[in-house]
Amino acid sequence: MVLALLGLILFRPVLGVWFKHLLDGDSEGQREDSLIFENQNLKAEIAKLKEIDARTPENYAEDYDYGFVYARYPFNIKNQVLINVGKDVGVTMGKTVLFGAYSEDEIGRSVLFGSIKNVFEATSLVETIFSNEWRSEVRIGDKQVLGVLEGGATPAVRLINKDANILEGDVVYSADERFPYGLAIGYIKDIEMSSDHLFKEAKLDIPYDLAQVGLVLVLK
Amino acid sequence: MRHEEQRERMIFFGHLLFLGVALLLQTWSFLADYARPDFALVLLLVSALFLDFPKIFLMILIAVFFLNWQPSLSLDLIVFSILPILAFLAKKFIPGRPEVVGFFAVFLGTLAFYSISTFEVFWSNLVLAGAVVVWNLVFGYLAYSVIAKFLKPLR
Repeated sequence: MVLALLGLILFRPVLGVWFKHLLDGDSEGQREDSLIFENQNLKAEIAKLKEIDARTPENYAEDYDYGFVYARYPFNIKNQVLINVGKDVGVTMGKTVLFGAYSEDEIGRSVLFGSIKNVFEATSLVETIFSNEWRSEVRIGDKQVLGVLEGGATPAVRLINKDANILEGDVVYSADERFPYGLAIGYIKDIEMSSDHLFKEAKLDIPYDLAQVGLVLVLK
Repeated sequence: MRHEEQRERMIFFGHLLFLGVALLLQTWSFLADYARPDFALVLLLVSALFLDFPKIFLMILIAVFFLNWQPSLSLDLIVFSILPILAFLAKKFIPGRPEVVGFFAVFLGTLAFYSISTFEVFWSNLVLAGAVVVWNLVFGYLAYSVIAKFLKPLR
């Protein structure tokens, strides 16, 4: 038994991921139906955010793939998920991952979810904005105030100019060269001064629950 | 003699059952959004103080197989595998009360795991780091208490 497990871990580690799916007990078809249902409920929440809808640029994505979430990083600090698209469909490292779009018409309403950290033959690892390792430049609201998004269980925007006029409810969107400009991420909430009183900082209100995200979109 | 062997088997089965619960808790998605105990790592560190090497090695392999989240073996899981072995060696070669060795195994094991897997973020976010360490020590205490009371091998 020890040798068999050792062999599987060394030569077929992905079987552990499939094994967990077996324990879930859903067939692939049921799973897809269930994920689409769950995601449509979340999408409805996102659709309520008219500011996000208005803020996000249209037609920035010409080529994309959907990915189902297969597994999550099991420990603290990092927040990564494994999705079921990889080299086989042309996914490469650093690509942008969105959440909230289920057809071409809806891509403009999706929000930034993460980026591809590692690519395998038929799967990819996504670093999500909920990972404590996440850092990216963002802008806030109509005045386009600059800030830095720091990931975590509750992502926060830091290094905001202390004189900048930002309000709770302002939309935060991507301004980092690694991602398409203007992708909505969430709302500003709980604005306060940093501990050194040199900057403002704020928590980020994310319009969905990470635990329920089952289907994402990878821009190529 | 046969009765003792059966009892040893039952005790090991109890450890495996405990590991199964820890693995489920570790992967439970609603817990994953917050700082939480590293159930599987802590349980293996504590079990390593009670079990012999082949048994703890089998438990490590089961945990790694179950927890792996990507199609290649990561540094995180390699460190995860080595730490309980170090705890096992610590029990063998470092004299001291087992509960004190257990405390340091969980405390240092947690620091070592995150220092190697994500050094910069862990040490730059001391509130989160502290929360993880405290959670692990609390779960370690519970695991140690349960194992010492119900799952302590005869030899």
